[in-house]
Amino acid sequence: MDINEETRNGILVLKPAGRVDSGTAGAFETRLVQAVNAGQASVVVDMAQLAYISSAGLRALLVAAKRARPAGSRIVLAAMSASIREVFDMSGFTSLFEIHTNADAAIQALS
Amino acid sequence: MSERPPHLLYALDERPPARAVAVLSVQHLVLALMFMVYPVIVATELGLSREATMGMVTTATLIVGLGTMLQATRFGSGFLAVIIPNPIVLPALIAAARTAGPGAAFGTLVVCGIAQMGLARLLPRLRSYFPPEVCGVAVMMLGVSLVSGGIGRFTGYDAAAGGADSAAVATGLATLGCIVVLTVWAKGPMRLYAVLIGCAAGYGTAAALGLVGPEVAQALAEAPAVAMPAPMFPELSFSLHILPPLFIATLITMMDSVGSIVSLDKMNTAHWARTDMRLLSRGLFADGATTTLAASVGTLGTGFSSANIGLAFASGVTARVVGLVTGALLVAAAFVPKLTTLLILMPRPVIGAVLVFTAACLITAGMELIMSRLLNERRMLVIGLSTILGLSVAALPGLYHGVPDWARPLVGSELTVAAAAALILNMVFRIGAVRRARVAFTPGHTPLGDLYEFMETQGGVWGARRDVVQRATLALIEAMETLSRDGLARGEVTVEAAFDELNLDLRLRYAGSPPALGAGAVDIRALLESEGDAGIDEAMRSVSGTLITRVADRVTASSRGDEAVLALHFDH
Repeated sequence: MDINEETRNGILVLKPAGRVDSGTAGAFETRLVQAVNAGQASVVVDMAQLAYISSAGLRALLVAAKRARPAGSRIVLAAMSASIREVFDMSGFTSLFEIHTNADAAIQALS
Repeated sequence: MSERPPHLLYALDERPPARAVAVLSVQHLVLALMFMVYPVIVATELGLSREATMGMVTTATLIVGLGTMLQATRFGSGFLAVIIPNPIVLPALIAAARTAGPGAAFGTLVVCGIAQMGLARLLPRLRSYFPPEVCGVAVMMLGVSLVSGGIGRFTGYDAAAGGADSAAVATGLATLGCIVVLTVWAKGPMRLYAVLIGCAAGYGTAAALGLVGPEVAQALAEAPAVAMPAPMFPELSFSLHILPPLFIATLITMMDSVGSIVSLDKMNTAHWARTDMRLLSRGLFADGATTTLAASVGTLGTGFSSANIGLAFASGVTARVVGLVTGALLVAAAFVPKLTTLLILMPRPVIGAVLVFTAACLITAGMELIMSRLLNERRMLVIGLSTILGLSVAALPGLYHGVPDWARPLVGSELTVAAAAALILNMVFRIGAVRRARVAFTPGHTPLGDLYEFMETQGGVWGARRDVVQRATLALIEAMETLSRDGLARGEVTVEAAFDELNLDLRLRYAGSPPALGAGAVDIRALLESEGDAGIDEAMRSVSGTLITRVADRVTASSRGDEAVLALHFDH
């Protein structure tokens, strides 16, 4: 997994590419927690390049979301493929996050 | 999850407004009536009188109307599927009638229709012979087979004189341009009117350019306003001698129909996975019954209209009620010889433009079907070679001249050659295809990437559906993470994978304990809102179990002695 990132309209956009599983979830969690602890009001996770996410990846998002709450930050998800969306729906994680069809829509909603 | 395809304006069970039903049904009627030229050809070849010719055409119209209504019910495929006189049987029927007489030709065709009804019931057992790439090639070639007739009529191409006719091209462009503009840029329901408005624009252009001559007015004046269809009622008999070509043509018709029903099934199902064999059986059975009826009253057998399938696809309306109304209109049209005459005489470039538009829709639908599976060398060759063989019919017209008479229906069109080749090559390439594979994995040592690679490679080798392979991979990774995280496996885990057209099974064998699956639901939101991280690991263990059991269609965990087995099953 690689994580590319950019800042648009002052909003940090993280773009994980490839697979988030037990082998890569640690690095994913570390970067997410860093971002919310750094005082970002919102962090967009653009999943357009994400092929797979396992429960280890979901755990990373949950931990980061918990860290974001006291820091006054929030994590917003975008551009889920149908298979990734299925994982979120089955696990019940859909209800935890604001989900947008693409990163542009997410940034527009947050701006 | 809704099965309604989101792009459709009106889906199968929906009821469009009455005005839309009327307009769409008239569009389908117009398109279907264009194919009444086939019984006209049969009548001409048999040397029938003008009165008998009109009788054959109106009887054919009545039969295809009844066939279309039958297809829209639960006794048929249940789809908006317009039935037309069958061009595939046409050459074999004419040859048979010349050899053994019309009575024997139509009588033997009755036998073929009954045979089709019998074979339709066997199809569910033959599913593995009709995988998506075989059906996709048939659908694509269905489109390709319309190109020659479509472009020829569109351009007024004359092989003897050479080149195109400018008036025909202008008429064709006016028709096609109108259809394309309305289909691409029109908003909402205007899409529905595309073909009808295109035909009207084309008719107007043709009249302005002098392509509609006085013979049309004369033929119209001579035709009665209302008259009963007058069937030929030939004295039916059976001839073994002419059975082989007619039966081969019937088999090819069935393959053609398979492609049509697959297209319809796909068009009407949001998450299409495989051919619904019950629909296929019913659709083929009903068409066999319609052919039997048609032949018994002395007219051409019937088949599905690919042009009307394309029209339904392009208009975004597949509502069954449109099929019922179209069928009723066809039945009514059989009693109006003037209408039949007018439509039979529609300018050729207008018909050509509609066929070109239809061909474009079908070719892309076939390609989409082909690409719905992961490709491997075998599948690539099935698709590539059968497509090349199909295209060779048009590229080298004399290539198949030496084939015996009985085989002529097989090499008569791009569709028949490609569909037969795809079917045969698919059977040949099944020989020696490895359907089982295994990989060893040591939790904590072997990279998970090896498992992704294993699944991706095997999915390609088997030509399995992408979405099923993705789900199986996800479940496998989740299971392996569970074994690793909970320390359930001591040492190596062997993953055995088995595949056939219906099933994908993964079996994980290892020394240790089976995982506890089916844990209770977890309140993730409460976990998010709670203080600290206590409970996260336990909750995620439950989430992991939920994912495995929900992603797979069936999961069993068992142990015997020291060996544990986790079996994951996926329907394919």
